[in-house]
Amino acid sequence: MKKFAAFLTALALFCVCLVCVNAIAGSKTELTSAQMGTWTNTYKYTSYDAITANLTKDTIPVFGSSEFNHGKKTKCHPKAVFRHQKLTPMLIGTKFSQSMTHTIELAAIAPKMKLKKAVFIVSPTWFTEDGARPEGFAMRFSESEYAAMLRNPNISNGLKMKIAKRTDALLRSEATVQKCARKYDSVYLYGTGNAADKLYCEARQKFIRQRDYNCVTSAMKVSHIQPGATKTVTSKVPDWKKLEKEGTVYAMKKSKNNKFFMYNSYFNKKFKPHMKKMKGKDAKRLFVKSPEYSDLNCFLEVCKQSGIKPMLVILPLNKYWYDYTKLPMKNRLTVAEKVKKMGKKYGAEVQDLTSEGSTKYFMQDTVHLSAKGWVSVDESIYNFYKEGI
Amino acid sequence: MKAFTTFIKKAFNFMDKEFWKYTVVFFVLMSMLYVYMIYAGMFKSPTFAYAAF
Repeated sequence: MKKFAAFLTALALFCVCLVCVNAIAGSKTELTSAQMGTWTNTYKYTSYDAITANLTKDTIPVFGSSEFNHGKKTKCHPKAVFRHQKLTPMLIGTKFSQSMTHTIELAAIAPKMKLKKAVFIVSPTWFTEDGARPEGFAMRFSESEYAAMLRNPNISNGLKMKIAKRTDALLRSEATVQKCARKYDSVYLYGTGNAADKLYCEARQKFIRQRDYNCVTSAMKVSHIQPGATKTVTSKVPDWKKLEKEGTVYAMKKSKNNKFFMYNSYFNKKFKPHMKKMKGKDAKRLFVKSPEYSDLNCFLEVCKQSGIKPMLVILPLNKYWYDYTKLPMKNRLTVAEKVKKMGKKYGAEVQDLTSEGSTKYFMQDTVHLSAKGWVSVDESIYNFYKEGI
Repeated sequence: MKAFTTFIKKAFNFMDKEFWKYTVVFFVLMSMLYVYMIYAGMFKSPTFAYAAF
């Protein structure tokens, strides 16, 4: 009896402490920083509060994947190019981030976006027969963003149901998270949850957002991202020609030991040991059927329903490498053709970089942009931002 | 008033040293579990990788 009473007392004390801590530390001010936009960090991407706290009238969310982690130390990465520009790209995405992850993210943050524009960097290699891998999707899944997506009043229930169904299928490898997502669906989407479910979802959301906050603020300290930092803005347009020249020189210096114009370090580590088995490997590789197309369609539908103008940037494949693996030329164009068609249907701007696959030093490996490659993407983002301003 | 005083007296008698010891132990355990749950996400690492190509 005494132990049980002690347990209840401890629980009551714990709840009081939790409420106090939430009230004191729950402020979003520590998440606001001019450096946040181009900061590449997985905790940032999954924190609804970290992203929405930094959406200004000059912020464009740029959805992508692993390319953001490449070339960060060069002058051509968005981090450097837009450091003193009025435009702040909000980079969202890393390895395993694909269309459905970004659909949820956009649907979550859309009501908070002051500038109704979004950039989506499309990687052709996502469009495999199986599409996004469940393990990868689960790794990038954000509960705070998922709940915010379900609560977005501008998205139709039909689209939310489509996203919920696909999310459920992709979370099959993570039963616990899948159960939580189902509970959110029942409360925020289908309205079938009871009072206990509602209470659970509200409490869990508080916990998740507190967890996200703690993770982001800790990571900010490690990465030297200063809360409240501002940036000095110049009215000068970036000198694209100069940047491209610098990017080319940098990429040339880095790519000297292979015929694929890849950076030496990547070639030596990732490709050189597998050269024999890779020869002719992609001869039968197709990109015609993939669930990824439907996921991308959801993204464009979210844009339409939220009044957001999208720009799709289609990344190229390294021609020299895929010639070696014998990926047929017409198969390389499949993704671009299909994505362009989808973009046209939704009135999206499309920046097709497919032909740059044959430009020497444009890629640093098979699918990631080199410093030179980044300049093209930066310029597209900048021009897209300037439209109508 | 008398009943209230008796209740207070009984409650104080109930909350002896052993009671507070267990309360502290439970509180610390709950806090540790909470902190672990909050920061556990930071130590998650990928359990698989896509093929290099």
